[in-house]
Amino acid sequence: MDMVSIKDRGLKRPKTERSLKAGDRRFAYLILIPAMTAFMVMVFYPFVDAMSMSFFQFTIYDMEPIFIGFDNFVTVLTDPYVLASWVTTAVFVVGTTLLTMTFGLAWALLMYQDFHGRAVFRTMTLLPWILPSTVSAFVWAWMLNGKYGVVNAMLLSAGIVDENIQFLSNDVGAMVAIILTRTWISIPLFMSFFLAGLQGMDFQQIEAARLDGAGNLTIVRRLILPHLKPVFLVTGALGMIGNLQQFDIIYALTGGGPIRATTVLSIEVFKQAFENWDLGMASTIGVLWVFTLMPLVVFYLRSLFKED
Amino acid sequence: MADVKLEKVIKRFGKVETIHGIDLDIKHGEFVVFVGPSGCGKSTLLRMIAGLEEVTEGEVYIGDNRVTNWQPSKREIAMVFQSYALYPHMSVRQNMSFGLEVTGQPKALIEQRVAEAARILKLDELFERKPKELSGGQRQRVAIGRTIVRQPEIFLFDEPLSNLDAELRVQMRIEISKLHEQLGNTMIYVTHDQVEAMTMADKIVVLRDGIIEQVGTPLELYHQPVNKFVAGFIGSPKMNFLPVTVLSANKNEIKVILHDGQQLSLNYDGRTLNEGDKLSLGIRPEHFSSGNSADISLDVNIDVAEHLGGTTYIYSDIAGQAVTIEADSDVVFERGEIKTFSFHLSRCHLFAADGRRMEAIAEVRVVEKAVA
Repeated sequence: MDMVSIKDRGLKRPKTERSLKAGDRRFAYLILIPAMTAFMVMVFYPFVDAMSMSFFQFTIYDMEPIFIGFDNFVTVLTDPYVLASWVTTAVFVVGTTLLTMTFGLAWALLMYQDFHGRAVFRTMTLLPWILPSTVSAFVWAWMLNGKYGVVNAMLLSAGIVDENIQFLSNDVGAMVAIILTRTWISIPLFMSFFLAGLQGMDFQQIEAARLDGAGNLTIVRRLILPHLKPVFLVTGALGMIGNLQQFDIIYALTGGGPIRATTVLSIEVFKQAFENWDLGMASTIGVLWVFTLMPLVVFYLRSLFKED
Repeated sequence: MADVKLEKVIKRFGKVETIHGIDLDIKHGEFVVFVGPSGCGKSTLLRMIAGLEEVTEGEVYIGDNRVTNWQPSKREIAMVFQSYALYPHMSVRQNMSFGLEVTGQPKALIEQRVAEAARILKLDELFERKPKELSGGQRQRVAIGRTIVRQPEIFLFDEPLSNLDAELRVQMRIEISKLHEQLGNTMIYVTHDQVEAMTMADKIVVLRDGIIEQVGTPLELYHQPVNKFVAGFIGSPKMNFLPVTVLSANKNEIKVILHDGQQLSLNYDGRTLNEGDKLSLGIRPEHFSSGNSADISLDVNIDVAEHLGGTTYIYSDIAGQAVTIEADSDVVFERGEIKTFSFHLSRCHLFAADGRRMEAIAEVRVVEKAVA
């Protein structure tokens, strides 16, 4: 028998296939317009504007921006105080991300267990995430208060310290405070990621390992962690990006202080822009901040598309 | 010695009781199959033996030990799961050696055991592959290999072949049977497929709704099912049940009438029966023969005829009951034809209204009085 073409079988190839595809494409562009407009106006234009502003001197004393080439970049990259912001940011980002991932995973492992009232517990776990972050910041500021905070009360009554710790007015204490608060807020989201990952695991693997004689730690180390590896990569990148952008909690808790102990990049930009009114310098730091973020974003997007 | 003994084992999930007090003895070296429809509790029972499911009441013994509350790893058992449960990021070799590694066995012993298991299951060539690079049958063999290396006293199989295609299932069935012969260990095997049960088991345990309906060898279940459920479950295609009505009954004889008016006299103790009681006459598809040469003849209106070459299945409906007949493969049957088939009363089973199989008191005798 001859080869049967589409036409022979009575299935007519649509005459307007090309124009249909073009129509589809037009429709796709049409529904993209609102999002693209918002992106252009709210993100792209300010970013390009900030990029160009980084080549200008524009302070409260200047009537209009003065082009100064790379001077701002030279100033920023030679100013030890501003450079220290990168170190502060790194400490905050690495500390928070590691802590969040550890607790998020631990909590997910707990919530993965079958126990009475698990649904209620899981829901309650989401609370920190639902609370406005400034509210959480004030709750933690209150708990960490140097005179009557509950954390100090606990440490004192447990005999761990002899006198109140002034968390928010010493360098290390302030850093610990913002890391703890941010971690507390981020745990629910990370837990959800890890829990979703765990639920995608064949539970019989764990049962098989139990029969094989593996203990809890072995099961976590040799089965669960390898299974969650992709989740670790994505949440790690996502967590670092989120923490690099963090502003509200730090501003509400410490305002970047004491002195500059918790002045991360976001706070630095804010201070340059709205305390020193040096928009050129703020833009320069902002641009450098974006370039700091970029490798992580690229990594995140790549691992996302690899998942597909 | 790895005898397994269950004593009044009960399982409740919350308030729902799924296993209702099961007693069972399994001897060392036996190949025991738990069979039953979905939800009958066969997997739960197996998981309770494994220690993966808590026993609500009753005791589980393995050998001389009461293991009811023992950890799974302490019970000297190994289990093959339906999903195979291979560790996806580990190679075949790592999957097989995992159990020995985590229990701290010396490297030389691990290598020797893994090599031995690989030889038995012909896995040598696949050693460095990951599970996702294996076919279903190969994965199943790795899952079995993983249990062999541990040299357990008891092997448990939880529907291990249900994810395989028909051909592979037959092949693996034979391999598992051979393995049992080779190792001589106790094996407990769960399936809903009665063919697997019949072909592999030394002893079959038929379960329904959390109770044991019958325990016996495959042929015992085939020839002496205790009730209608077991009779219908064991054998393929399943047993036919023809409705009969009691005309009279006494200590030595029950007279019944078939749907078409044939009267039969059966040598059963009928003291518990009354006139008008509805009973079922069970006859297997393979016990029919063409024509009217046997004791009882039936005219069958053929709904569907399946000619499989070696055998032919006739499907029909008799008095509201679906009937299957295994017929002569040399004859071509047409849909809508009316043909006569007959069977011997000695091949029949009589089931009371509550499903219980009645015991014939002596040789069954037929007195055919009238044909309507």
